[in-house]
Amino acid sequence: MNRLMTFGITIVLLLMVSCNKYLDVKSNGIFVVPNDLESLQKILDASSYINNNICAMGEAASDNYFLTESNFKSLSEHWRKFYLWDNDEYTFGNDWNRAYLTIYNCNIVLDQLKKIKRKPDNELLYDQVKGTALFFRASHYLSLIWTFSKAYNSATAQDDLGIVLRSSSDLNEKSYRASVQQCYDRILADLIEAEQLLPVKTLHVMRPGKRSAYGMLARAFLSMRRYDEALKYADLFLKQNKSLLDFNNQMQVDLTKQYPFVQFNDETDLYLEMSPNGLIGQSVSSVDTVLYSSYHQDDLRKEAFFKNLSKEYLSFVGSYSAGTTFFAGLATDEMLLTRSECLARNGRVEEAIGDLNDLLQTRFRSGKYSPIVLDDPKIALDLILTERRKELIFRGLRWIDIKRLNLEGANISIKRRVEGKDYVLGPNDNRFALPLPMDIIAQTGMPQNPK
Amino acid sequence: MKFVCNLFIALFLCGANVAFAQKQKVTEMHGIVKDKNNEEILIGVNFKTKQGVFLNKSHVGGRVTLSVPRNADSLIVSLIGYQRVTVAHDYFMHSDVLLLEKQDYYLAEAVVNTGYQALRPNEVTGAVDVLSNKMLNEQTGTNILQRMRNIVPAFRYDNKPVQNPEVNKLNISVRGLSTINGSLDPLIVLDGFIYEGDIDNIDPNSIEQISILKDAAASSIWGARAGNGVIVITSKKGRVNDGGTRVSFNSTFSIQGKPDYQSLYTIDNSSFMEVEKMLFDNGYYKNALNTTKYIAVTPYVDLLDKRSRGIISVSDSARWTDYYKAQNGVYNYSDNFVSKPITQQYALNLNGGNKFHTYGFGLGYTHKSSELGAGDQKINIRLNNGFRLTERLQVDASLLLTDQKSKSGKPALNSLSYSGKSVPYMAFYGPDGEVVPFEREFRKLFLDQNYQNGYLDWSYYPLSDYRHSTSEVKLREVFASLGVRYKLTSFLDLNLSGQYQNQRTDKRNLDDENSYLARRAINQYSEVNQQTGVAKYNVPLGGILNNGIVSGTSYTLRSQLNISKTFQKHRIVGVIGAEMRENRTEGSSFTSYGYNDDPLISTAVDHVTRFKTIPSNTNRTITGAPAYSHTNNRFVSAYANFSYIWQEKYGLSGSFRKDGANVFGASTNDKWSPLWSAGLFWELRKENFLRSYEQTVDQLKLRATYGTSGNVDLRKTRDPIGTISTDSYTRFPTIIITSLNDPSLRWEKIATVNLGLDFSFLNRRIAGSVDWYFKKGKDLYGLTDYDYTTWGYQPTITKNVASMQGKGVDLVLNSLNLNKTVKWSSRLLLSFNKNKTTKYFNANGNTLLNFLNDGSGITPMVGYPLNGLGAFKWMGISADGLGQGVLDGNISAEYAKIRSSVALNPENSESILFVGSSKPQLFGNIINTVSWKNIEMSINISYTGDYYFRKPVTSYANLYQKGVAYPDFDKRWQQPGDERYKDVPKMTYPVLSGADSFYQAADINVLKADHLRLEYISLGWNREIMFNDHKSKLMLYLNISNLGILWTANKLRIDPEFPYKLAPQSVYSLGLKIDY
Repeated sequence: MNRLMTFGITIVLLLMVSCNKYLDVKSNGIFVVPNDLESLQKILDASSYINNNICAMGEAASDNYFLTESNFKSLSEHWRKFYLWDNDEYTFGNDWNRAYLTIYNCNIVLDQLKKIKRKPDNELLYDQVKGTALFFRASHYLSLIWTFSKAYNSATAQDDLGIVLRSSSDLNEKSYRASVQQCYDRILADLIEAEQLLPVKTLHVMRPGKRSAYGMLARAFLSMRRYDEALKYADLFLKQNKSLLDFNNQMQVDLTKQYPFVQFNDETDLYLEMSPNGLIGQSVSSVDTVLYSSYHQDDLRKEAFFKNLSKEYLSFVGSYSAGTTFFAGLATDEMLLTRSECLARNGRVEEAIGDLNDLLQTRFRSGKYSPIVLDDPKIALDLILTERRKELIFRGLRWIDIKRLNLEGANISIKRRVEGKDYVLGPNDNRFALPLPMDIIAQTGMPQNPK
Repeated sequence: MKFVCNLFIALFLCGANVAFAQKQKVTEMHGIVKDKNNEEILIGVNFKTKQGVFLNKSHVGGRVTLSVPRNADSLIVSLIGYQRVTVAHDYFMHSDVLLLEKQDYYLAEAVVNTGYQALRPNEVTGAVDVLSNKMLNEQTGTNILQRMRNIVPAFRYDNKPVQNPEVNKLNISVRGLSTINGSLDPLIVLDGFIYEGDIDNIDPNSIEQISILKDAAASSIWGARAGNGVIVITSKKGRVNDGGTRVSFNSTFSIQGKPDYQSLYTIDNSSFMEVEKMLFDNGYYKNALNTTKYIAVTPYVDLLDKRSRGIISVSDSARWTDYYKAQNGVYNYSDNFVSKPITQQYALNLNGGNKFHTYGFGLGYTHKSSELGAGDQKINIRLNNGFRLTERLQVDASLLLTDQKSKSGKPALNSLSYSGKSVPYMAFYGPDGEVVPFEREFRKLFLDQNYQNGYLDWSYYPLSDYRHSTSEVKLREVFASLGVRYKLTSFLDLNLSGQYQNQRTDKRNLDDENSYLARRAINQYSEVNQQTGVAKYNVPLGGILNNGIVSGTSYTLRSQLNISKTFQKHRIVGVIGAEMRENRTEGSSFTSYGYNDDPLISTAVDHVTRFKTIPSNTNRTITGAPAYSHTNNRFVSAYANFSYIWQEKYGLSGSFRKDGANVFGASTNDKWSPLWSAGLFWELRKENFLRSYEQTVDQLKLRATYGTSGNVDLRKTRDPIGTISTDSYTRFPTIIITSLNDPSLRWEKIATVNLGLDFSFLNRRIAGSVDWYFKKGKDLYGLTDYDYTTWGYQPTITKNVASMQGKGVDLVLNSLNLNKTVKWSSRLLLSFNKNKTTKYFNANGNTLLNFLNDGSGITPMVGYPLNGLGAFKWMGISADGLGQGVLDGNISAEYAKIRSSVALNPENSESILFVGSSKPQLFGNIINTVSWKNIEMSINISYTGDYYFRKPVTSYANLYQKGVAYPDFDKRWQQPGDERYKDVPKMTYPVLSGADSFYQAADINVLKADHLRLEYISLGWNREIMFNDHKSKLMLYLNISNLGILWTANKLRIDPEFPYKLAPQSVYSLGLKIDY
């Protein structure tokens, strides 16, 4: 009996001693605490949480499309108000939360990186992970500031309301709106640091390389109207690779297909996608008729970009996503046009037109393109800007282009006609800084953009 | 040796039985009173003379010493729960032991099984209900929870579908809620161990008894998961000294009425088609018909479109229109798909035992077929054996096996819609009796034009397709336990026990080559060269087989000391122990394509490439690549539970438990949670001041307990937790952060106070109990809005932000109203439960706007019940047919402004009001049983009250999108003047923003839900027969359940539990039981 009792007690004691070890077992096979470089790279490879959260509201507020009366009516009030630049009552499920989801993931990576030592045997991966996180954070900050703030104006940037800069993944850190100047400073600093860390070559266009950092810097500087720097980085981008899609080559662009482009095509340097949006989807939106008619009849973009999906008007099918989603990443065509614009502004008309000819050569039917010859910088610039709009349609660039060009005096306004009534968004209107979500304003007490 | 020793002592004592105490003119005698069944020594037995004079007595170590007056001729011996006996006054002069037999009624109630120990009712301080085998057999359900329905106080079965299956599987609550976002299910314990299997596996016919532990003192012994109550199920076993083998067989046949689809409201065909025509004319379908041309539209819209395109002639269009007009969609459905559900149950139980060995064997077979022809058959096998190896050593082993197989049936009504829109004129045959393809997803017109050559038939034929798309689930479960009990000393037992459970479910979903789903998948992924007509099938021709295996394994190892010691007036009963438990699940799934059963074949497919699929032209991979899952939850616990009883009059109890769990990412300290409870009882009847009422009062016991329990959600942690996945574009392995890193998360804490009174009067003619309780939960997990700039993954996050309280009263009253040849007894159950949120962070503002949902989910708002309904103040219909409310004191139809005015001024808005709880706060049953000779009849009527429901009303947006409407549609405003007597807004297109939801949330549509329901009537006839010289019992029974509503508080007589929904039809069960 005593032996049995001792046995029993021993078992009890053994249980108590070993239980903490017993409890260290993982409770779910797919759980993981990301604390090594490989896991951090995996966070950055989750494209829906990293690449595909570029803001779409700006595109939806722009002038590349319109809604027919019946399509307008079939939409919910939420989208109808958006269409008329009048929705400041929307809540979660928007560009803001999606872009900040990417930013959170980048911040988690940057926070966890601080706990890992950079050593000679891991420095390549370490730098790649850090550079990638900085790059994506900056890209989404840039997309946010284009959408929710006024265009950069060096005179007022110190006071203009920017977006929220999150320096860590800590939930308890309060959000506040930095100034536009602070935001751009952060974006540029992050991108410049990323450029030094990122590898030259990457495994997939979903991952950024050095060239992507050049491209994003060119975008940022162009939107700040700092054309010399934009030129420098666009040039660096193109020096590495300036391959373009030939629209005459059926392997690259198959005009018979519903979506003529191939995803991850040769022109794509970095793949980003816009968040879904109820206004610009191809089943709802119709391409602006004036814009459509501005393409030359031998311009293959007319067929590659637009399809008549059996309605009165045309729908946009030319996304490099080769589907219904909108590509918003970096591609050679954009950089050529950026360099071309900056060269023209710099008076280097011949080089500028050279870039333009290089691009259009691939867009026109074989043998139908006659290269442009021009020497007036003003006319050249206008031509380049027109081609920019035609080439980069539904890329998420039009909204910021309108804003910055209006600061240059372009005097672009957007008009909508609904139920016999005209709605106009005039140049430099306050509403060019779209309203933040209502619940975010309520939560944080941050100032809303003025109407 | 020990046995001999005992015998010796007994003999010795018997000899010394009698001593004379001449002086008091009384004779002093000694003896032992034992339970006839298990020979347990009974204490607290009362002795009185025929004249009613109680005798002095004293207990020493279970022996009673009596002072019997010399003039007494006979003695009446009584004890609660036992049959009264009359013995000669000198009984103890001749024999030492008196055996008492349990009262039938109390046979099972005599033991409260907490799972860790079996207690006598008089040792319990907590709130416990015990259900006997007889009570469980009153109803005939095939699930043990169905059998418990309507006979347990404080038990509420929810008829609304489960809101969140992750925290709520059983959809029952014991004493209301004690958490806001934590687990809501009571804990199920089977034969002493936590049961992780499917509750459906337990065969109700093999269950002996169920104890329900309701308060903290009773349940805290089960630790962290016991906050919602514990249901302790004990299966049948052989008993010591049972005599020969007892055989029991029963068989039940049940048939249920066909669901009454006609009771569902549908708009009449002409009106519905008018609505469709109006929408068509207004361009509502323009986009669908012209842009997303491949998506199905309803048959009438299809006609209108074809007509407008000139595809069909005027006469054809008219012929079809007339044909549709003449259809009765729900009738067509019901006629073609629905039959009467039938259930058969058979159970054979053999039990027996002698002094050294007990055994039990049970075999159960259940077969069910549902109204849609889905079949389900189940075999249960039970084996148990107990061996008394030596006087001190007892070994018990038991094994429960379940084998279940179920097969899918015909399609459900709600699956038959045209791209999400249902129509009242649904038809499966055309005017010439031909089968019409059902355009469930895709439009035939478009597919025929674009994707016909080279493709398989795209059509869905509901009348026959279910034969080609079948799913089969096989479930096997083993539940085995082994216990070794060693008697260390007379008062100390060591128990070592273990349990192993494994449940494996195999799902097999086969869409054969002729099925719609297989044809659809093959077509969607095919690439047909339009010039050559050559097809490339990325999904190969043949069937599609989805396989899924889930295997759950749990084990428990337990080591426990049981103490039971009586010395003089003191008694201590208790347990102390430790256990470890693991619950592991493993799952895998994969899909085979090009599958065929005979000859057996399947073909490999490319799960990596994103193919362009038609007709939607989206890029997709072929789904069904092998996937695996694995979870493992571990717990370690140490516990103790003690009761101290003095003179059977006062009792104290206390329990302590510490639980640890492998919470992922938590530091060691956060893995552990201590829980404790304390309680006391006071048997007033034993007090001198009640002595003179001893005749009338059998029992009067006061109980009080206090205890804490906790709750941890293993999904909520402090580290960022990633989930491994694969990127859909790059196929790179990815990690997605699905759980936010929040260092401030803690365990939930719930404290409960319970005060109870057990009473029994007039020799148990009236007996019952009342319990009052109060629960307070703090640090509860709450979803709160947050600044999603910080994460962006979801709109709300979980924090320990909430507090709540609940209180209630449970009453059980049993009475024997008539005790002559006709016996009439009543059992009344009444439960009252109220709860409210006391703390909650609500960033959207603490406004009643939160209560405008249907009330089925939990809406935490400080000061209000957890499930509640609010409503807009309704001011009738305006002259132009719009619903109106109040805005700043004026009548208004500006819905958005009304909402924002409420949001701005939540405290005292005139526009909105809180109506009441959406879950019953008062509910109960009354069961009346009348028996005459060998016939017995019971009627169970339930009352559910003190709550409200929202009457479903027509939303025009829903009507346009889904074809759904409610009877108020017929009473809508249609012309000026209607507003004087109508309360339903006019139909508008486009839908007026906010109008639908304002009207749906109007106070006129929130109704009182109180109702009386006739739950069941059961009729039994039994007879003792001699069979092979054996006394046997034959019993025939009939049970009719779901007899419907007797009374509703709402004047419209809408069943508040199934408003405009299919209510369960009556079930008629006929059964036979033989005990041999």
